[in-house]
Amino acid sequence: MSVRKQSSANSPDKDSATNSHNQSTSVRHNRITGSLMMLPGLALLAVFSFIPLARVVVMSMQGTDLFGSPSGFIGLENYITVFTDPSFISVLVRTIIYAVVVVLGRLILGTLLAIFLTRQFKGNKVFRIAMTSTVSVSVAAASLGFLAIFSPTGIINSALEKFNISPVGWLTDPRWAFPTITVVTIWTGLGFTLILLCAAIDAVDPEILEAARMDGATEARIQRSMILPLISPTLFYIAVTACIETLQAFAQINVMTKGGPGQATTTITYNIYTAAFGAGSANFGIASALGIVLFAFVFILTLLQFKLMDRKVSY
Amino acid sequence: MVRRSKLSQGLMVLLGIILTAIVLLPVLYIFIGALTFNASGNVSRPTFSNFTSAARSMPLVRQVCNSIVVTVCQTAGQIITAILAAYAIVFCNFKRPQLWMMVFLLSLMIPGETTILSNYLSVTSWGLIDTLPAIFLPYLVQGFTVFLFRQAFRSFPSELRDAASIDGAGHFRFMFHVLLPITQSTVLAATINSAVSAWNGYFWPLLVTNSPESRTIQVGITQLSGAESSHMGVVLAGSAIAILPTLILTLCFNKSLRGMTVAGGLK
Repeated sequence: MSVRKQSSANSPDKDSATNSHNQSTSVRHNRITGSLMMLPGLALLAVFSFIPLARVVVMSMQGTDLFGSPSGFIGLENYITVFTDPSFISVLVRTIIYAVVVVLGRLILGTLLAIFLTRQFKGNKVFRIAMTSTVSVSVAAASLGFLAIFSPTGIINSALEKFNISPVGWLTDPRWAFPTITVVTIWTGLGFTLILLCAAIDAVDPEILEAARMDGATEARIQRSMILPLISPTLFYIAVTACIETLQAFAQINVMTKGGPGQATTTITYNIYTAAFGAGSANFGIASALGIVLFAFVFILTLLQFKLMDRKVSY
Repeated sequence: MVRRSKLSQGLMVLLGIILTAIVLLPVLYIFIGALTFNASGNVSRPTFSNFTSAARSMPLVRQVCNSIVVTVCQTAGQIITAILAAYAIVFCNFKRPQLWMMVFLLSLMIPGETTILSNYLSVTSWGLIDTLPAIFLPYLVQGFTVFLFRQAFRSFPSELRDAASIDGAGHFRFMFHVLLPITQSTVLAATINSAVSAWNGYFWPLLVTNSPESRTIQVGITQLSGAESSHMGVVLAGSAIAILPTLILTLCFNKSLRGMTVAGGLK
């Protein structure tokens, strides 16, 4: 600031020389200020993200002593243990099935509901606000709601009873627990899916659709051949972000099934938790190896997500 | 213009009510169950007795206060660090601003479920276990929030920035008097986004707290479901309290939710 004020006080004949000098000092001055502004964010990221990642990589190559703390270097032994353990392979397969089914469920239900919500009729705004408000409901509280819904005396089993169907152990039967968790996870992301899809359908030019209607296209045809292709970038973006989120799902599993019965609902994130913090089995080495496997998945999916963001806005 | 008959309008509204009821089932179940479920698992006349039972079996008020403190600190941290970093990237003449943006975006590739293993050991060694700072300290910066602000700042005409600096406005005067008022929709959307996710945090708060007095409300209510003394109605009463603040927030600022997705780079 002071530099600039001096320059205006200078005599005109020196102006050009001092201007270029001032410009470079002000640019440098700017960069110093900018660096200071970026410092808090960068320092926090380093301390709580980048350095911890490096430390987990190191811990994944360390053994574990009797108290669960990291001990000496053992190379890739933890990874070998993990990948030769049949129960981990089934956790991995389960996690992938979980992610695929949740993504498909959100896309199909989300698209159908979004097409309904963007139709022109009285009161459609109210339904839209009501449905998208679920985005703010915490997974922990929603899981407790679902716990009540799927409980032996909950609304689902009461309804089945009316049709003389014996109650199902939705969360205690090994055949049903995983599908139930999947349904709950489809629900927890539905609000966000609807916000994105409704915005995408709103952005479709109504004149194109009107022209198609004039040409005699049916509503179903318009939706399949015009709206779906036009919102496909959004659908793809939702697929990627939903996949990342499902890989990291924790609250619903911990609240509703604790990974059980047996290991029926244990996914990779829940396995990290049980390996590191489970009763009597603290093993940070194994947990770290699992953490790095999770990181590999999320890393690749996030790269894909950036590519999709890139298509819309360059950065 | 397609004119719809009264009948088909009525059918759409009916379908809307049914679909909304299905989608909102867990939320409705929480509120209705909280008001009507009694200790024997039956439905009775609506009362607030489940809420008073919940307050008796857990430090409910204390946990709500904890959640408020965590939400305020975490949201303020994320917004302040993001505004400063995004401002620096856009307006401070760095040679390669994209590079710095990439550093912040890189953090999005690292799942929190991986870094908690190290952060848990750090927080333990700093003696912060079972304190509120342990809950929000690792989350004072969010790469995506930096991205949101950077997108908003970038669309700000640089001539206006130059004009302001010629008029003698320093960085902070320009920021508070020109830039932030103009980009207030982004500020609002990012604040709601940060606040909702701070309030709803579960995994990390569960790990770093162990006494009921330092739990947040989200962790607190899930502890209720295991407790012998409480029945489903009490658990749902706790859940109702846990979801009400964010539900009201998003109902009030429904437009901002859409702004958030557009600002995030998606149309």
